[in-house]
Amino acid sequence: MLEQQLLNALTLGSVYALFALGFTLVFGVLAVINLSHGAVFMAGSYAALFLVTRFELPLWAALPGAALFSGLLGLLVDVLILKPLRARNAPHLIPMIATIGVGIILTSAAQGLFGAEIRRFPEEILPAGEFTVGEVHVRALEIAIVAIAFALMGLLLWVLRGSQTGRALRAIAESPKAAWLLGINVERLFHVTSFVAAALGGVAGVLIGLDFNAITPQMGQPILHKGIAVIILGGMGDIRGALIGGLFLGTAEVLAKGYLSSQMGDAIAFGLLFLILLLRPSGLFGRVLERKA
Amino acid sequence: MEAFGDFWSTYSTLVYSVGVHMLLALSIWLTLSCGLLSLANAAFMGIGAYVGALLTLNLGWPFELVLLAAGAAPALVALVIGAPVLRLSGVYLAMATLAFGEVVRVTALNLEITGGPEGLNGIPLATSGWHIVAILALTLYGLHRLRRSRVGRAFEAIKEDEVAARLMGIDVDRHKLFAFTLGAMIAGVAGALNAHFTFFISPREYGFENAVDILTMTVLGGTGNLAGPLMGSAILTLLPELLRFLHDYRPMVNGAVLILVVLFLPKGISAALRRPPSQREDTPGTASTAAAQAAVEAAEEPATVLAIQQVGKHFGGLQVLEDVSFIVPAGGIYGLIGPNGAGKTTVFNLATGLLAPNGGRIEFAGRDLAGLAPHRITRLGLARTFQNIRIFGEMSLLENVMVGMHHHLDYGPLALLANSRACRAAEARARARALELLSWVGLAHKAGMEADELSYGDQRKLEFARALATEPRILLLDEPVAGMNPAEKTALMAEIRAIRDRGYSVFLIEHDMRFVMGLCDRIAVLNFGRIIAEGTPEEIRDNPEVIEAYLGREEA
Amino acid sequence: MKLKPTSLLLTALCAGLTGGATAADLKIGVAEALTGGAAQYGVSNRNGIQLAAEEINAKGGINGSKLQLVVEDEQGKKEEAINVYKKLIFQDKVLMIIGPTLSNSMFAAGPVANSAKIVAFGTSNTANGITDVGPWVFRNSVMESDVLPVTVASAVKHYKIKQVAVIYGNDDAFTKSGYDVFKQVLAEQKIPVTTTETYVKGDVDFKAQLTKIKAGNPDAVVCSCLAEEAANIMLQARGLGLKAPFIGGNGFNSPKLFEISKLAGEGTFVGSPWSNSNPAPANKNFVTAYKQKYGSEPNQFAAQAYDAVYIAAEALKATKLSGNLDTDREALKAALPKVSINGATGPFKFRPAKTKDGKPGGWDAEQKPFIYMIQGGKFTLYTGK
Repeated sequence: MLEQQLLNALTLGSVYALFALGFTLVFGVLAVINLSHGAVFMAGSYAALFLVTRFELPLWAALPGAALFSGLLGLLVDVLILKPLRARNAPHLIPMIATIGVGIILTSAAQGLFGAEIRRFPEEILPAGEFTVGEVHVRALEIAIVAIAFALMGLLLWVLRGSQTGRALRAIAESPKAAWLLGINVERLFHVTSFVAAALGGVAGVLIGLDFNAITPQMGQPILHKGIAVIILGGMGDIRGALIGGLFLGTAEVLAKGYLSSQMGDAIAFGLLFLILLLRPSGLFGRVLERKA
Repeated sequence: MEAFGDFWSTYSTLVYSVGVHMLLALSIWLTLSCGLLSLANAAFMGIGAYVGALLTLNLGWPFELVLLAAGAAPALVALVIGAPVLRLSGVYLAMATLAFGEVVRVTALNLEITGGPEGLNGIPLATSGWHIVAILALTLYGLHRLRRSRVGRAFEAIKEDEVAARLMGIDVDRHKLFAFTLGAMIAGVAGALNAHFTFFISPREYGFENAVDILTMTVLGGTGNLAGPLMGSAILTLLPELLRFLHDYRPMVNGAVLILVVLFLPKGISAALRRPPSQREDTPGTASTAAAQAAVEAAEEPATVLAIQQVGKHFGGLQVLEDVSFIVPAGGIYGLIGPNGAGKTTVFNLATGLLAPNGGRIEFAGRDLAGLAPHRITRLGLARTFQNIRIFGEMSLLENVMVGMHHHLDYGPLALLANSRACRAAEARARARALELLSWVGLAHKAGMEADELSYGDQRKLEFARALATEPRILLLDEPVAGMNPAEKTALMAEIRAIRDRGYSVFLIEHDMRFVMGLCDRIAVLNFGRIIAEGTPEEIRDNPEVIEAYLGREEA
Repeated sequence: MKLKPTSLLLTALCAGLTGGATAADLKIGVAEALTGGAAQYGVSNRNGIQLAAEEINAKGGINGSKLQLVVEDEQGKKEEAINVYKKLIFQDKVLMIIGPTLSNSMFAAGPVANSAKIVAFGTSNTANGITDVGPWVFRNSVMESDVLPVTVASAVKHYKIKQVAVIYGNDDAFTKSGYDVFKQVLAEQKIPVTTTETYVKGDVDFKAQLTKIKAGNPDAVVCSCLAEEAANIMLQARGLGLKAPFIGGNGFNSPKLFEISKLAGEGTFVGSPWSNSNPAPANKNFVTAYKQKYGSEPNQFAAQAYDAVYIAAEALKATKLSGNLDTDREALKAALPKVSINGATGPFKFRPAKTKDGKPGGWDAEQKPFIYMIQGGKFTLYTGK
């Protein structure tokens, strides 16, 4: 049973990590807690569903399509809402509140357009295949999710570490003003970051919609809460932290459900979050920032 | 009359809901007003609702008593979790309170006594219109009084600059805890009121969405004044009723309103409706006994005000101060000089309690400062200014200075609520003293202006006046002439001398040599974390080590 | 009472607007969650209600009067349910109200109806204590405590079950109260439970719980879940190699179960007053008409809401309306308990509720449950052989 639970933990953790990736990226670069990320995630799922059912696109084509759609959505939010707020130098909680509004609008639009009931991808297009290793059942889809989560994470880290854009992004994360003085086009990189983060959220939405085969207008909310827990666990704005935090939360939750009591799953997730915030505000794995007097 | 009867029958619950939402919006307004974004108020509302409903259902308590208990229970919880949680700031606090809210919700879901997910039903109708009106009126009155008092000024100061507020002698942690607890109490009472006219409660009513709803109401209305949360909650409660025809797309309007307000009415609807603020009416008061008192205190001054003894400080592996010792005598102007990075500001941060030394001892008027919080040290009589001015920009000059008098205004909460004579007298005295201090620095005529509107030089002067308002024995000035032209510097020298002549000791950090040499009675020189010389300006000027280490380089 | 002229004026106005109706229209209030999280049930309810009202009106109405529905969205929120109820009672002056969708909302709105003396008719409120609210509260939704003992006994007999595992949604009033009944039934029938697992609304990953259930090696899995969750649970259970059959409650009763789970739910036992394959003519008519009007399969929510309108119509037929709103509402309340119909959910009548404190309560459904076994992706009647 432990092996199966560990596999369950790995899949769930990857899902959390994938979602948290874009979430933490936006926080790292734009210093905004983007509470519309859950709704963007949901929008990605519906976009893929729409492409698959209406245009009968194959899944491999619908996935980038959904990523593009979510990405544009993120870009739109950045240009229309976050940019004016930046220009005004609004206190950091204001953009967060604005993104709550975005989330409400997207969720309500999805319900208006697609209805409240659960939608699903047609059976035929799901990657079939499952096999058994010893006691452990594995589905191809689960492997795909884990692989994609790790691959995207690796790609993102590689870009941040190795490329000029990555260096610029890291400079912005340190100090947007200093980066601007160095001649970095900060606004453009904010747009790029918003696009990439939302696209990642969209991909996560599609994969999770596929795995659990349930798409609803409200699907973004629970995962948003978990995403918040993950980036706090991993350290806000920390890319590796999103992966570690996601896996950590997934494992803690699965093991709590498996060996303690399934009622405790959420209580443990949030109790843990609460404790960690009190003891190590910068996250379990993040660097502790020296507060300046 | 009949038409009204029908109307009231139809819409009474809606009107009740508006009242309850107003209370909730006020509860979060309170925490926001001292700079805390707490998402726990929905959970506090839930605690109040459950406690109230259980007392009514199981013990049959009278409703007024139930309301009291429903306020007390979440307030207790807030007291307990407040101490650790409120150390967090900004987004982290929001997240921690969100997590706390989830813990409360999950607990209610899993307890037997709360009825689990099925909640509690059959709660009798006990809330009547006058309960809501009375409680709302009491809350509004209380918050209004609070806002115009030392506590309200302290909240605003904390919101603007926590460190500066601490150094004004404000016990920041206690004030935050007070706002958090009082907010929890208001939310709890609102919860019980709601439970007793909706017959039914369940955990899902107190989750994240509800916390966000409450916050939205407050932000929409604006946090600048009490009318804001009232307007915001009324609009957001009534709007959905007016938008019934939009069906599925109804919540979209909510979302859009939120974004549009944030984008175009950054201070909320209430601020947008107001006329631009005219000069606040602040007429000079009469008596100025406080000044005389300060002079008396100064006369009793012991010979040594501040003694730094073998103090060391390191950040990680970096040794910033090493075995630093010097004595600031009473009644003079003492200077600490040294090149950039020598550790001067660290000395100030240690003396004011913002940092703790790794070794050695700091004594103020014979008293060891070890382990004392910044606000305690300020209250002992040690005030400072900052190199990069830290005034409370959105408060008036007068309020800025009055914040400094925080711990000298000692009327109690009851006196405040009753607006008693003692309370009014204390406020009037403080106002008079503040104006007096403003006139010392030549800013009395601008007392009603917002501090942000002042020129750089005037902001410096305001910071002086504010520091003096704490009635210090010693004033610590961190690079007071940074960024000033020669004429301004000369004027400031006179200003500082005048302060000294009024009986205050002055201890300043500077690296403008001419300024220090012309002003100070004694000087200590800090280089790479060590004191390399100490003495009169003449002695320092002739000290070869100083010339080599500091002047030589500076001149070159 | 000075209400009379206003209500006359109103009815006259309505008659003028609809035009041609010989007698005054009979106004029925409908309070359902049409937006928000409960919308998927509320919309089904409303569809069933509208379908029945149209059928009745097409056949000439009731004693010459047409049914006029006043539909309001209560969003699945208790305050909204109260607001909508009050609007329907005091402003629209309806004769009775069908809805709200959730038990939670009925707990809030029921007392309003009770004190205003108007019938509150729940079609999808199965929680315990709904009809404790007062004598004006009616429901035709069958309570789990009437269904599950038979379901469990049939499954135990069929599969020779020795031990079971239990899974349920612990943050939802419907699934939690279903679980409470299951727990009691299992205790009464002396069936050991290997493990009890829970999930919360919005969970889509049940693998951790199912892995644990599988380790306990139960003969069946008792599941108090809504159809969509149940379907996902079945799929994931089979994915983990858990082969035990499922036993479900009212929540299983939706074609969604097969749409999603395909054949993963084979062998499942379900007890319910309704299934889409029930061959009774009333049900066949309903299923055909529903599909034709809405282009999708009906579910149990729609079926019970559909029957509710026929029950109300039957009561209205037997009531002499005076035009005085208060006496008419009272007369309708008096007529309802005498109604007995044979609807989409089979033979139906009311029975007085047994309340906790012995006070006169409302009226519960008296209906014999059918036990179905899922075979070939369909509900098939289980006859015990």
